[in-house]
Parts: sequence; structure tokens; C-alpha cells
Amino acid sequence: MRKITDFEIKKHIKNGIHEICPDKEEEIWSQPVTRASGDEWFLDGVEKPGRRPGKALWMLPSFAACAMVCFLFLHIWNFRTDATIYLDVNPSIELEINRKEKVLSAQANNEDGEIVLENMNLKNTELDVAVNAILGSMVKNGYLNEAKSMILLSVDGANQEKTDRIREKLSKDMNSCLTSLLGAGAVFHQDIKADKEMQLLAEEYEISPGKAALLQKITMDYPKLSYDSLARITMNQLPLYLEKQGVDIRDYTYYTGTEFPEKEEDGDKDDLLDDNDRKEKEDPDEDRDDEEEEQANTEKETVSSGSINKPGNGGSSGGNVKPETGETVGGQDKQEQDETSENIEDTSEQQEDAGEEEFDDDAEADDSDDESYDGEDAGDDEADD
Amino acid sequence: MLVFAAVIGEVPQEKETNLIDETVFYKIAAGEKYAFCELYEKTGNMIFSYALSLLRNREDAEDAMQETYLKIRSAAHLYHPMGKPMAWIFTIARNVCLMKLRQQKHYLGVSIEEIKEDCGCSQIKDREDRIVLETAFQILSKEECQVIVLYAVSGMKHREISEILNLPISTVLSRYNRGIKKLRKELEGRL
Repeated sequence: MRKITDFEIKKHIKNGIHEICPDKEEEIWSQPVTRASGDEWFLDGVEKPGRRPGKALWMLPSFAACAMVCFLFLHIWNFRTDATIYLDVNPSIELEINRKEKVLSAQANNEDGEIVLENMNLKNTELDVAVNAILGSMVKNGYLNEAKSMILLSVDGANQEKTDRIREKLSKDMNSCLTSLLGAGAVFHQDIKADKEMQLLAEEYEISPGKAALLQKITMDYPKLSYDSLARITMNQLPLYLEKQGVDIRDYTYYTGTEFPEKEEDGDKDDLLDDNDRKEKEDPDEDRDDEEEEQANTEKETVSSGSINKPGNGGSSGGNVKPETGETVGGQDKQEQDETSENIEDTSEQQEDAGEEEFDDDAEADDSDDESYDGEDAGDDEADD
Repeated sequence: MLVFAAVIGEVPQEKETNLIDETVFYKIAAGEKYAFCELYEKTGNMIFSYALSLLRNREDAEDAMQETYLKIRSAAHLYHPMGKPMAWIFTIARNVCLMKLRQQKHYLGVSIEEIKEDCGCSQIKDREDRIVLETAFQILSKEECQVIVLYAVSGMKHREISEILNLPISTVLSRYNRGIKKLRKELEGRL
């Protein structure tokens, strides 16, 4: 008994078949044949030329899968919120935009905002067109006019570079729009990161997270200011109110405007003050001259905040430092602020006091502003007396 | 996306081993005898062994083989060059064999299994050749026999055999391995 290999098996089979295979080529060639037409039974299953139907069908699911993936990607990309724009006058409105800066949604954060957005369909509109439409509606509904042309613009986006670009462009567009509609415009603008806490605050006070963030920054630096009071003040009144408290809103926001808004001749301002503010106003220290008043205020701040400098003036020669992040705000626009001050108050700039070297540059600018303002207060006080 | 689809859509078709030149069919259609004889010489053993493995009867296999070449002559003008001349020939051979089986069943009134099997191996002079071939036809199934005999006679690769027989390559490989094991085992006792 011997073992046989596969090779031997194959060889034996081949030889055996060769031996019994008939040699009938001559016989076959001699027989007549009929030319086939192609439909005969013996040609069943013969592969015909051209694409196999299975191949085209097999590609179809692949195409469908690719198309679905591309569609989903574009859908998610175009419908994903890339940034949120917040507008506050007294109406509070927020716009969500996609990467192409088209509006995905527009919603009002308070009743006045709903009035502004009434009958407006801003979906899929270019951002600048939407904002112009909103400003036009605010003018039409009386929220903005020649005397009230201040607005707060806040931008919240993941990409800082893009956020800055949108903010700067939009602020300029808004200022142009306000100027053309009302003859003057004042746009305070900022970048924010609206976290959950900010959104809850905003909802509670019916303001945007942008304004909520701004007020939070101010009240953190100036605890004596009441968040509740500030939240109730419109944007048109807020800068002037803060100024009376010795706070320049431009320390916390950028500013784009044709002119800094003039003080409102409105006796209701006092109603905006809470009890603490009113008490302070009645303090006899306000009877002192400018230097002593400023010094007294600084001392009060020292007592209340425990620091010598305003957090916004943290030693840097440039601009003011954001208290939360340490970033510089207004610093970039310091030149802009200076130019604005120069345009508005030429006379007050000439009244820099040499004795005030202990104060930094911002204090000097505030001083020059206060001087003209305090002059009026002094007159009022004298009248009271 | 188009590139991706194009890449996955175009699956290259492998061609058969160059046993025969496709132009032989045009020559046969044109009436050239030497082309037909060349074709017969190169493919005769394969067609005969295939028919024998299907029909298990030498006379029937010879008739089927003859009829296959007659059909090739009649349809040579219909052949379209696609790189698979053997697949075209074997398709005709399979149809002819199956038709013969149906006719035998119909006329004889018996099942295919009951048809007398006479592979004509007794005429093989070499003892070992005869024993191996007889054993193959006796112990292997028709499917295993087709694959092993074709593989041994044609020299084609398993992939080409799978295309000719229109079977998955895994099926061809498993039938071959199973059949060759059976043969090896059986032949150890006979040789």
C-alpha cells in the first residue's frame, strides 16, 4: 500500500482522459450546421456584451450612501449655529446665525422685542440685512429716535477671530444705519460667552445674555450698584446713569458712534436710583470742588472694594482690563475713545489739572467730563441751597 | 464623491489564461477548418471530461461533446470578445449535457441516478491511470468530479474554473479539497 500524491492523481486523470477522448474533429467539421440566430437554447446563460445589470444596481446603493453623507454634512453645517447676536435697546432680541452669516432664528427676549419682530420673517436672511430691518422696526415703533439712539450689540461665537470680525463689521453697519435714520448713532459692542448662569439671569430680567453679562461685569467692579436697578434701565439711559456713578460704560464695551450721547434733560433720572444711590447724592461731600469730590469718591471706592485702582485700570498704560478675563477692553479702542472725547468736548480737554498726577489717564478723562457735569450740579445745589 | 463612486464602481474583470485566442471564433465563422481543428485540439479533452463527469457515460459524453462543437460552429459568428472564450464554450457544453439528461429521463422514464454509468475506463491501457479514473467516477459526486477532472485536464486555476462553471471560488475550492482527500484515501488502498 503506497501513498499517492495530488500531483500523481492529477497526472493519472489527465492521461486517462486523454486516452479515451475521441478524435472526431474531421467528422464534426464535415457535418452541415445552421447559422444560429442567438436565441437558441444552447446559448442560454451566455454572457452578452455591455454592462452587467448587477453592476449598475450594485453601484446604486454606494451612490445613495455617498449622497446621503454629503447631504447630512451640508445640512448640519448650514443649519448649525455658528454665532449668536444679541441686541438690547429696551427691546431685547437675539439672532442665531450659521457659518455663512445667515439668520437661522430670531427671537425676542421681552415683550418690546416681540413688538419689534412682529410680522418679520428673518430666517435665511443675511445678518446685516436682518439687523437693519430690526433697527428700522425699532425706529418705527418709537424705541429709537433722535434723542434715543443707543444700542448694545453683543456677539457670542466659538471662533474668537470670526466673532471679532462680525462684531466690528456689524457695529459699523448699525452706526451707519442709525446715522442715516436718526442723524446720530451710538453702538456699544462686546464679545461674550453666554454660559448657563448668564442665560438664567437674562431670562429673569427679560434682557439678553449680552446685557446680563455687561451688568454683571459692572456690578462685580462696583458692588454698590444694584444689578436689579441696572437691569431695568434702558440702553439709552444706562451710559449716563453709570457716568453719574463714576462708571464709564466704555470701560466694559467697545464703542462705535458719531457722537457720545448727550445727557438727557429728564428729571426722572432720580427715579432710577435706589435708596443707597439717593443717600449718596445727598451727601454733603458733593458740595466740595472737583478735586475733593473725585478724591472722596476714590476713597469711598477704596473702602468698598478694598483696592486703590479700578479693576478696569489695572496698571496698564493702554486700555482697561476686563475684570473677569484680564483681557483688555476699550484699550484697542482707546484711540477711538480719545477721538470721540475730542470731538465732543474740546473745551473740557483743555482743563487738565496738573495737581491730578496721582490719577491715571482714564481718571483724567473722567475728570474733564465730570467738570462740565459737576458744574451744572454745583449750580443745582446752589439753587437748592 | 464621484471619485469614490468611480473607484468602488469599477471592479476589474480578470481574464482567462490564454488557452485559446478569441479570434479563432471569427475564423471558424468564416469557414476556416484549421481554426476549428486548433480549437478542438486545445479544448477537446476538457469538454469531454466535463461531459463525462456530468453524464457518467462515455457514449453519451462523446455525443454531447460532438454536439457541443457543432453548436460552436453554428454560433461562432455570435461570439463577442470579452476575454472569456472558455466560459462561452463551457456554457454551451453545459446546456447540451443538461438537455441530454432531460431527454434520457424523458425517454427512458428513469431518474438521472439510475442511468447506467459506464465511463469507458476499461479501455485505458495504463493500470494506474485506469484505477484512478475509475475510482474518481465511482466515489466522487458529480460536482466534485467536475472540479477535479477539469483541474487535472485543463491546467486552469481554481478561479478560472469557478468562472467557467459559474460557481463561487470558495465552492470550487471546497469541492476540490473534499474530492481530492477522498481520492487520496481510497487510492492508497487500491494502488
